[in-house]
Amino acid sequence: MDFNLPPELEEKRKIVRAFALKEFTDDKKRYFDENEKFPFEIRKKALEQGILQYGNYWDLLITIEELFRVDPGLGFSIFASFFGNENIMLLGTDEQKKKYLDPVLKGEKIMGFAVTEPVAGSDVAGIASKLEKQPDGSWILNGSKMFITNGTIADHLVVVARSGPVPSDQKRHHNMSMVIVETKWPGVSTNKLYGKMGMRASDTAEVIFDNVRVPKENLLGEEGKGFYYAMNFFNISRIYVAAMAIGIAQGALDLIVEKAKKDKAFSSMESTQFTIAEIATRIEAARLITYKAASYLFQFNPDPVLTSMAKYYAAETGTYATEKALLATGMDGAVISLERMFRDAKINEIWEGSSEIEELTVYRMLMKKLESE
Amino acid sequence: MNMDEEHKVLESVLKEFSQKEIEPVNKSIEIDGLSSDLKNKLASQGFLGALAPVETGGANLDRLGYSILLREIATASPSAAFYIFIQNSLVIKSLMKDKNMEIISQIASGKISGTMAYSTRLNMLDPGHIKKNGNMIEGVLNAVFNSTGNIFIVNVEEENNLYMIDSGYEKLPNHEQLGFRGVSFSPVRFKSSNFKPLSTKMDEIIEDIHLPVAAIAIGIANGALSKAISYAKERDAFLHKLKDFQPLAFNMAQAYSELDAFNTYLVSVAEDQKDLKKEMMLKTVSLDFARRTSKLALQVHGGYGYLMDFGVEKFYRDAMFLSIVGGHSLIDRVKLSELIFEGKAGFI
Repeated sequence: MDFNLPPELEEKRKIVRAFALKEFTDDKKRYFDENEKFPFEIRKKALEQGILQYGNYWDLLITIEELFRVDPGLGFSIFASFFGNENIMLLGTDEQKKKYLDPVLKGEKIMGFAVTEPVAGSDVAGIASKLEKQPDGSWILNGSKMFITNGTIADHLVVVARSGPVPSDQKRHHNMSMVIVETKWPGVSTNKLYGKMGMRASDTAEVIFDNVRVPKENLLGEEGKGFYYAMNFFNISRIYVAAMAIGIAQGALDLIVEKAKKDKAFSSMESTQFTIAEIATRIEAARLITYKAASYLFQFNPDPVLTSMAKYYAAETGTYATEKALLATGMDGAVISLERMFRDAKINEIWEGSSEIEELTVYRMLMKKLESE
Repeated sequence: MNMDEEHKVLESVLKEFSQKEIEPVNKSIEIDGLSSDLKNKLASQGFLGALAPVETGGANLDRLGYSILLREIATASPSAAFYIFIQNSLVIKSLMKDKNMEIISQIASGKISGTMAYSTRLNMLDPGHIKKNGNMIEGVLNAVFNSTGNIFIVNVEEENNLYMIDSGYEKLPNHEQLGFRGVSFSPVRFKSSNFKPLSTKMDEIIEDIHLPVAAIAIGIANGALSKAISYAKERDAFLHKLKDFQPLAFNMAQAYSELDAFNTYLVSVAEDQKDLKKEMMLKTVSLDFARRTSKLALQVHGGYGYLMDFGVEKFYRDAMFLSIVGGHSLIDRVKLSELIFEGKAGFI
């Protein structure tokens, strides 16, 4: 068992860190956060410098950690331009990949994934948006989606909607399908959501579909399997959310260590030392679970128990670390990046399956595993 | 513990005031700051001069009345409660000993506002520094709340004396502001020959902030939990109301029970004569409770909790910020350890 990452990944970690430290200046961090603007220029630079390597999963994981370590809002904006691409990668036809995936991976286009609805957050089976099949095989899409990352800036969205009746309360997850929708099509409208507590550089929106005609060739995968595809996607994205949270926790640790280096009285106290030790230990534990879950996923053998454990524990570590670091650094932390990280960290306990959903998943999948042993 | 009739009436009036005057403008408080209209309403109710004598237009509240005031206002808007705290616990208290009644009267009426620049008493590597050279006080203090105010109480650390300054200051660009966004927060540069010495010491003022800080913290927890409970009754998920799910219901029931205990604890400490140890104990646990409860409330709201429109995220930010600005957490913990161990403790 080797716990060391390959040298090329360690090297990439250094490159990403150098990029983030250079590009995510204090002024930019504050500007994009306060003004809730998407950092197009920084994203462009990241693409030009090859910071994001989508074909290399481990590379991406390390990259996310290092971007979020310096600034979660800017890091997320850069990374999430590709949000939902795995659906097309795994399910798309050659034509769909050429049209909708390649330009996204090249950085020419931005995409998003629209699952959540105003009345269906964690409860994905409660989705009410409707896809009605037309005689020519195309679909008419109606409904609204909420908290959609890149909603107002995406060129296209992968959308999950109900394509058939609900068979019963127990089978609400049946009869959903996944389609690719171009945001310039008639009937698609978006409202940017302002006033988020954190991740304010990123674009989040409500997306409304009003009689949107979706060509039959834009169906992703098989009709009726949208719920399962979405769950499969979350098994992937949760690993990346865990990496985001680990990056934030590491960033919080960096800032408390920075104060400890400057202030000998502060670092000489055991309360400070214990805080640093506790945060560092939790980060290590979160990273180990995440890397283990990632190793299964990246070998195309995901373990949902480990994935949910990783997302749940890492997200909690992010909020824990930022809170403890703020308490320890006091006003020094409150007027620098740490206060922003504290605001940014909390969302990881909510999106891509709240912590409660992760715990339920751990229980259910664990029981299934144990019962079959 | 039962409150007397007078305090019950006060509590009831405050609940009604918060509901009618603060709740409707809560979002604009967070975005634009406390409006002059709201400040006038706070003044006309006697809240800006809560600790000031009646003859200055103040309400002359006792410890319990003042605690109830801060708790109830914080339940609706922690920023508004913090503003009242600054005017009373920091400014009016500093001015009372020298009977600066004219200034106190103006603060109580809302005509002017003040602040005490106490960054040197917070956990901050570079709180700034001011010095007194003959007839000039000059320097910069790095973390000043209500920095758009008209009068500043500053401490010249070399002589440990407070001075009141009403001209010769410059507000510098705002800090990033985690909490209490209704109140301005920035460094302030002083160069003033127009100052007046005060006989109150800064440490006397800081020693008295534990009880009011605890009251604000309990108000934050109350406000956050009330919203979470309402939301859990209305929001459906998985064909049930959120309240039907054990992890959420149990956590909220736990917080609700704790809140009841905290309210009783607050009344008990506030009704007694000043007791530093008890007040510090109350503040320590109240801040922890406010952070935990506001975090729970945000989690119950899911993605909506992350949006300003739902009025929950401010409690999460404000609870954390209050934990930082409600005193020097490290010095406070050392002091509390010393009070509990009746001697030197917690210094390694």
